[in-house]
Amino acid sequence: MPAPINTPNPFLVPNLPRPKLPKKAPASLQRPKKPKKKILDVTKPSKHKHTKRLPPVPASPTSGSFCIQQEILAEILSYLTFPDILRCELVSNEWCVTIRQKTEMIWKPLLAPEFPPDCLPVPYGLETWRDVACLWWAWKTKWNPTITDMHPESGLYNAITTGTVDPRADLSLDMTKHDTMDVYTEREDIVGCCTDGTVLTVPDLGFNLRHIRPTDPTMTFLHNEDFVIPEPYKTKTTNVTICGNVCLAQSVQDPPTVPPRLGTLLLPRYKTPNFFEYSRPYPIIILIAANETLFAMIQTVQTRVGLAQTIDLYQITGKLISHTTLPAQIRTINQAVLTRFNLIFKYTRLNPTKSRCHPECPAFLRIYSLKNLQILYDLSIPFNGTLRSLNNGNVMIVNSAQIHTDLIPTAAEPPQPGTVPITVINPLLRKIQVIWTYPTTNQDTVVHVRSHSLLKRNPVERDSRHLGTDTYHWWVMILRGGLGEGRVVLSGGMELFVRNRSFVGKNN
Amino acid sequence: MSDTLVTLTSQEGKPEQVPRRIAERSTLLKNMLEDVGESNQPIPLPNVSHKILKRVLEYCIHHKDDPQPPSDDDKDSFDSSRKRSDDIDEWDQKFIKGKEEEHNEELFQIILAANYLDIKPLLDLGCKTVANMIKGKSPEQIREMFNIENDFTPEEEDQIRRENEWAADA
Repeated sequence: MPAPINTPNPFLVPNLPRPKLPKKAPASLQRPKKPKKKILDVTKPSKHKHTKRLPPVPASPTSGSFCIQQEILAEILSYLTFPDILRCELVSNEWCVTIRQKTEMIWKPLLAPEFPPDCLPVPYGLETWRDVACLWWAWKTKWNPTITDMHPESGLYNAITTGTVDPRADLSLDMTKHDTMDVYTEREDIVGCCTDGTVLTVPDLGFNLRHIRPTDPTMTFLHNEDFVIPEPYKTKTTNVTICGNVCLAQSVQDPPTVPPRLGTLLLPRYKTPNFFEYSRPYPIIILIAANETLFAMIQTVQTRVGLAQTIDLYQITGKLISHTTLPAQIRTINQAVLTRFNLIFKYTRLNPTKSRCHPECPAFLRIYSLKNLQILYDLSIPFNGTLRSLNNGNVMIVNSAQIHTDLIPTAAEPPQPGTVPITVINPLLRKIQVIWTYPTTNQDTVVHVRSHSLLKRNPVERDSRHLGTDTYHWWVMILRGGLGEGRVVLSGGMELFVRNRSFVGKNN
Repeated sequence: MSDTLVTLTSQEGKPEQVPRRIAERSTLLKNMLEDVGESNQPIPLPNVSHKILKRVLEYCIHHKDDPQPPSDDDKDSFDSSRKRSDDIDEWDQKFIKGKEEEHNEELFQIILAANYLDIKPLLDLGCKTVANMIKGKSPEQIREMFNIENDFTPEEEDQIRRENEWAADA
C-alpha cells in the first residue's frame, strides 16, 4: 500500500548527524595572512567571485568513516547509473537525504543521454528531478519490456513495445497450458500465425479488445477477462506474431503482483495527487494531439460521444509545454501530470525506435491511462486522416487515403442517394458549397463538407483540390450514433457546430 | 610573471614553492594571487596536509598545459552530455590510485583538497574514481568499503526498500 498521501517522507527532513557548520566563517574560507606590503583586506570585496567552498571535514575519529560534504557526495553520485543511485539511497541516512535533496545534481544528468538539451523534460509542481528520472526509468525499463519478460507469479507476459514503425515480434505461446487468456493490448491489428502457417486475425483468435474495466485499478488496459482460446488452437503451440504493444497474460483470479504502476509509485510524492487518486469513477485517458488539426478533430468526436466526461483532452503542439501556450483547461490540472505528458511526448517523439512514432511524423495521437501511465492507444502514424469513434467510446484514426477512395465523392458527383443536405445557417459559412451526410453501417454519420477558400486555413480541412482557379477544401466529420451535436473549432477562432442537421458557425 | 615562485604553506607549516603558473591551476589560489598582486608572502593552506599538497601539486604539474576548465559562470547550468566516469586517462588513473594500503584515505583527502583549492579537474577525477568504486556494489558493500555506519532504523530501511522495489529487477 502506498503511504498516505499527506504523510511527509520522514527522510526528507532528517535529523542527521551532519557536520555543523560554524557560524563564523571558517579559517579555511578566510584569506591567507595579510602580506606586509600589499595588505589584503578581507572586508573589501574581491574583484573575483570566489567559489564558496565548505571546509574539508576530517575523517571521523570515532568511526573512521570518510566524512565528505554533501556537495561532494552529490558530485560523486552524479556519475552513477540509475540503479546505482537507487541502491545508494540505502547506504545511510545521509546518503539517502543527499540523493533526495540534490536531485537536480544527481538525477538530472541521467536524462541527458535520452533527451536533447532543449527537450529535456522538466519537473512541474512538487515533482523533483528524481521523480522525472524515475518516470523515465520506469518507462524505459518497465514499459518496454522484452517479450520473454514473464512475471513468475502472475504469468504476465510483457510483450514488445520496442521496434520501428511497425514492430513485430514472435511470441511462442503454448496454448495447451492456458485455458483462458487475458489480453492486454492497445491495438487491434494483432495477427497470430499458427505454426501450421495459418494466419489469424483478431476475430479469429476471439480477442475482444474493446472492454475496459476501469473500476479495477490494476487493470486498465483493454482486455477481455472471459476470453477462451478457441478450440482449434488449444491443442497446439501457436506462434503468435504481434503488432503493437501487447501483453498476454494467463488468466488469474487475483494476480499476486501486477506490472508496476507509476501512478502508485509516485503517489506518495505528491501533496495533492488528485490525478492519481482512484476516486474518479473512470480511467483518466489523455489524448495528446500534436497539432491543431488533430486536436480539433478529437474535440468533434469527443463532444458528440460524450467523451468529455471521461477523457481529458490536451493539445501539445510545441516543443515545450509552458503555461502560456497551453489551452485553458490544461492550466487547471495538476501540473505534475503535465510532466508525464511532456516526458512521454518528447520521449516518444525523440526515440522512434522505442515507439511506433515515426521520426518525421507530423502528428500523432496517443491515448494514455494516467492511472498507470500505460498507453491505451498508440496511433503514432502520420496523421493523414480523420477520427472515428469506436463503440467503446474511444476514437481511432481512419486514414484519409481510405476516405478519399471509399467515402468522399468527387466534386463532379452528385450527392449520393440517401444523403441529407445540411442547411448552412451562418453567413460566414455561405461559401460551403456541398455538404453530404450519410449513415455508415455502424450508425455513425459521416458529414462531408466542401468549403471554398474562405476556410482555407480551416484546421479541419482534409484535402485541398484545385478545381479550376478555386481551391476547395474537404473536411469530414464522423459523428457516432447519428447526426447530433458536434463541434469543430477552427484555427481562426471560429467554431462550427453541427446541430440538428444544421451547421452553425460562430465566429469568436 | 608566470615564472615567479609562490610559496604555499601546508597544514603542518611546511612551505612548498611552486611556479605561479602551477599554483594557478587552483582557482582559489589564482584569484587570491590576482587580488594580492606581487607578493612574496607564503599562502597558508591550513586544511591541506603537506603530503596531500604535494600530491595535488604533482597533479597540477602534470596538467600544467591543460586548458583551464570553464568557470561555473561560463558554463551552461546543465551539461547536456552524460556524466561519464570511464574516461579517466592512464596517468590520472595511476595518480589517483596511489598507494594501495592508504588508497581510500588519500583519495578522499585529495578530493577534499581539490574541492577546497577549487581544482575542478582533480575534483572530477576523484569523484569519478569514487563513483567507479561504488558502481555495481550493494549498499552493504558500499558501507563496508567506506566504513559507513548504517544509521537507518529497520522501518526506515524497509520503507526505502519498498519505495525502490519497483526498480530492483530492472
